[in-house]
Amino acid sequence: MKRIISLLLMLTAIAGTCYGANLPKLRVGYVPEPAHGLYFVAKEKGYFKEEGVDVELFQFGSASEGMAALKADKLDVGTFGTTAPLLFISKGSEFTFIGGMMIGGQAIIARPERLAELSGKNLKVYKGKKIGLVKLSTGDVIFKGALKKAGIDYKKDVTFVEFGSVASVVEAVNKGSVDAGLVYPPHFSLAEKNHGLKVAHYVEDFYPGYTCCRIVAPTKLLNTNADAYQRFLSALIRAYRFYKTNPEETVKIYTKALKIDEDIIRNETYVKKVAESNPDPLRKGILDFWQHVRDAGYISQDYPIDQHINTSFYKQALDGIIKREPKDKVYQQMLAFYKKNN
Amino acid sequence: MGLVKPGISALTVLAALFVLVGNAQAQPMRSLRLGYLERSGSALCLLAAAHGFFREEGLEVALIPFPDTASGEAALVAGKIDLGAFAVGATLQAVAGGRKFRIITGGGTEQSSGLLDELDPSAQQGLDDRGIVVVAGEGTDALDKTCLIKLAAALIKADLLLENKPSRAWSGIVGYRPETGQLVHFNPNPDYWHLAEVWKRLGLQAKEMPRDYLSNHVYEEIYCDALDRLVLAQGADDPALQKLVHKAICVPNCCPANSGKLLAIQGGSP
Repeated sequence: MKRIISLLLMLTAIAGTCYGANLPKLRVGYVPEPAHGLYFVAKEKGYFKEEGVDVELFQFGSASEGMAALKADKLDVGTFGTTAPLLFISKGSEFTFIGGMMIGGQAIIARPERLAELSGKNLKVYKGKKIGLVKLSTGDVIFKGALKKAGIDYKKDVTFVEFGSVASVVEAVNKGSVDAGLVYPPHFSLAEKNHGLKVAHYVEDFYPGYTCCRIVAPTKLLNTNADAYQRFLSALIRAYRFYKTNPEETVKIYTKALKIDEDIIRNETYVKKVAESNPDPLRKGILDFWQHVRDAGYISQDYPIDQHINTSFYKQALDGIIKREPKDKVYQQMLAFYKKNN
Repeated sequence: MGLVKPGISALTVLAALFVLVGNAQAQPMRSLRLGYLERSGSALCLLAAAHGFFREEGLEVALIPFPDTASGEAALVAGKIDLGAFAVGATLQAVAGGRKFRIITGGGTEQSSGLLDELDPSAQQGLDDRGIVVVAGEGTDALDKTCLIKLAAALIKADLLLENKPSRAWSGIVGYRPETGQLVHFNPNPDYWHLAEVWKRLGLQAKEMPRDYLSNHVYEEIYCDALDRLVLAQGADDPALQKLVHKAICVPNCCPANSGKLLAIQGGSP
């Protein structure tokens, strides 16, 4: 009996190896942010392989390094913010947005004694203030977009001080050399924990559902390997369902992958819900983002960015999963969300 | 006020010397040959040499003058120099012709100042074409990213000196000071978007070229990394540095892992 079980186990292992070996491979780049966790869930729960794609994950220390790897054919797909792919595309790189990874997530931090003057839900509290930021970060672009939507002439009424890194923004807020600072996760949680700073507002308070980090791939690979990319997105859609329905296990997976304090991840992801991990491409959000980049005067020449957004991979992946599980509420919500935002 | 305790002063000098000697021993100087055109637009390179900014960055730079871009770029292609500060228009023509040059930083561009020039846009266009970019040659593997970042950092320091203390800056290179009435605008940023305008105006984008042909030859990330490095080291208090940061279009740093990473580059200023 023992021999039969051993033989069966061996055959299963061999079959598994062959199955994995024959799958199309995708090299996926990401930056270590909590809301990028769908990759880790899909990997940990085996969704990539179940959907028929062999994914290898590569962590990058900066968006520019990740985009350079994507451009040098060292990656097949990646998530490196929104600004970075837009800059590369506007300069001629043939990349296409096919999905998303994170919605929202930026916060405005201040010293505790400054909170009272920044209270309320009206952006006018920031008029006349000096705000530190990392230029062209999502927080920079979206906050300026929110100010413009609110009718505030931010070029005249707000002073922005640009820093080279988010750590420098936190330091400037802590020292009091700026009134407030725009930072992204997990920096505001770390700033609260390490320096006693406070979140005055989440940018979502003023600009609900804005786009953050997008999934982007070289256009030529999308054309030649479409099936693999669709399978990849199918796995992320299933990971999203898991993230929505299994909070505690998701926190464990994120923590293990990112090596960030578990309480910070739980707090940001499920308690304060400062960002959502969501694979929807958010086509309208990308176009809005590009417009805000141009309104801010960062890039003078317009470019038809819409030509570099392809929502069909995601839609077909979602349709395929809904066909398998038509009554699942999470997938139905994803479909409604897709229709609204694309 | 004004009194300095000799003991402390001597100690300070000794400590500084130890640090300098230590650095020099830890990091051998990198030797580079930098060609340049003998005119005011090349001043950032000359200033960086005259005021010791190259050496601060761990670079031993030999400056080699050229009468024109054609002869300079011929030397670059032949491997007789590693980099050159040459004219924008001619450099872009060479890139369009297939030269694998890498544009690393900008330089000086003369500004039209005549009353009639305001009525004739081609006057400034001609000056733009004669403006300076610093370009690395093809096949020069010795010029790795770290080395180029150091070079760009030295040129940015030269620009900051020119902006903050122009008299002191020009005193080191008197012969290259613009003449009275001559305006030269200095910008160490390679400025892809400006180059793209010149590229378009000169009709250099051939049909068979990929859309990113020019951007593949403009290494703005080197300039951005050098700028980041100086901001991390000096803070953002210097208005001239803040102005350069404001004008640069750089991919933002995103992650905890990246904060301060560039400080880890050995040698040169932190």
